[in-house]
Amino acid sequence: MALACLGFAAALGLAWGPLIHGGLPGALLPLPVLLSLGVGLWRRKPALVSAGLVMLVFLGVAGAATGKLLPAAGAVALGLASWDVALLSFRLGPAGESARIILKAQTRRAFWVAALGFALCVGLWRLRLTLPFWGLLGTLAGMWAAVVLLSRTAARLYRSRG
Amino acid sequence: MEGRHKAALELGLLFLLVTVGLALRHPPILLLAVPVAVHLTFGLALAYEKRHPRLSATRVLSAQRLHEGDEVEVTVEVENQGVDLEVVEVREPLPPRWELKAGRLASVKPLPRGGRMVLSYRARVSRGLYPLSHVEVTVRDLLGYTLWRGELPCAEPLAVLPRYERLSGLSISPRRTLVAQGTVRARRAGAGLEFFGTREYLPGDDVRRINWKAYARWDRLVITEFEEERATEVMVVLDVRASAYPPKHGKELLDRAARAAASLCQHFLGEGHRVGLLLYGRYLDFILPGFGKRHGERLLRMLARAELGHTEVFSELSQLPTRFFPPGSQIALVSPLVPGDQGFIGRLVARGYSLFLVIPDPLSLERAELPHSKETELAARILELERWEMLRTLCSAGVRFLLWDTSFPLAVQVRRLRRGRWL
Repeated sequence: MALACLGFAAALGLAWGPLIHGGLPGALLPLPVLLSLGVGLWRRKPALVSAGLVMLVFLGVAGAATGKLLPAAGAVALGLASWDVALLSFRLGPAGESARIILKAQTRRAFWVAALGFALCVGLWRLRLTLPFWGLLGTLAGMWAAVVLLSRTAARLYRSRG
Repeated sequence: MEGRHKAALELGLLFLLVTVGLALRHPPILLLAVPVAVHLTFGLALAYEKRHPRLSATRVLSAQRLHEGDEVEVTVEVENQGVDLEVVEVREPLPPRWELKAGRLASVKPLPRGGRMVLSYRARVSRGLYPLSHVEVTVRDLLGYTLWRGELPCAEPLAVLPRYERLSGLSISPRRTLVAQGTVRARRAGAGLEFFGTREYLPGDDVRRINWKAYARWDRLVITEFEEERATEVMVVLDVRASAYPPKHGKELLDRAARAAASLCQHFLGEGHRVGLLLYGRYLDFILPGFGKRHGERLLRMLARAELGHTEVFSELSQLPTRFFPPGSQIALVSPLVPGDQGFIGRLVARGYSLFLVIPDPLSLERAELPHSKETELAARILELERWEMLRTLCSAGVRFLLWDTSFPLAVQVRRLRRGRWL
């Protein structure tokens, strides 16, 4: 749980960093995220923590809109990993020997997947490609198709058999 | 937020980021979708093979037949016969009114292929027949994308019988008796111990039964006759009408009533009578009169499954099916009674039934839990007066009854009956 709190705090700091000089609106932006995550972690409410994550991603979007992608991508990746850790911590309850083993393995996997996502995002950002108009359009259409394919495949493979 | 919901939330975020990125034609926003997409894709891919686990469970009990208040040790073992599972949660649903004394009812751990997970606990049991049919298992992957919930069958039935007391000195004298020997005076001469009368000696009579004192007095041979003692049929009726029991402590009082019924059944069986049992209220559940230890066990198991219930048909005692008991036979009714029952009980006695009534007193149970105040005392006094009025009617109808203060053992109060004191 402590790890999830630290992760969310770091993610919030990263997401808010680019907006810190945005005057009063910029200063107030992290408050709802902080409130939602704080209450959710304190009262062990998964719905509130998930809402906090969504708001954190929007904060990241606002940061990315200013052109600072690295902290925003870091915030999103860290937020996702902390979200995983928090949800499993809620489920496992008080830490026993078995719970500690599970949490350790889960933390490792969550941060590994998040790091991979972050690395891919940064790698793509560093990549300089010159695309003709139709190429760009094709890439976008491909991305859409990939997202739709992912959702449909997941729905088919993970549907309930009961 | 697990399984489908988690994936749906991430998918929604992904759609939103891609749409906003494309709409604003802003690559950094579009690229923010990459960590989410990687998280979702890898999460789902790593969780794929854990979707349908193959698990089996077995249960071992320290005993399969207990009396209420005993303790049972339960061991549940779950074995993984499929792929490695990352998070397996086993939860044992504790039956109502059982009290956990030691051990745990839930456990979470990773379970590799062929691995076993053992859950063991000790609990104090309450009256009832428990199938203990399944154990609840939840399997999830580390990131929570797949969630499998199921009930693994591992039935191991447990019978928790009512605890019964050994009663002594409870005598019955129904008009109708059986041919078999027993302890009920048959009001006729025969084999027995109690003096019945004398008659003139007839050739063939046993010379050992000649009353020599009478011979010395009257100068003719006189035979002493003894009263024959026979067995009889006893129908024990346990009232399970919910309306007869207090709403708050109904189950506790029914437990005690079942104990009283079990004590009566065992007592009458021990005296050689044929004993039947009828649960009256929720439905008609009965066992016809019979003898022996196996029959006694059947009666106890039936009492173990007695539960309170309500049906309009059996809401009054007047629907008691008297065709189960021939006229003149013995009925032992265990019931807290409701106002209006006394009329029907009086009619039963008038029709020649021999009735013995045990009334577990609900007031004794409820009073112990209520705070001492003027209002409580007044309410208890009013209820007592109502009850005494009902008992007075029963007394005048010639019904033998025992108002059982359930805070004391039944046997103690039955012994008071032997000394001739009723109530």
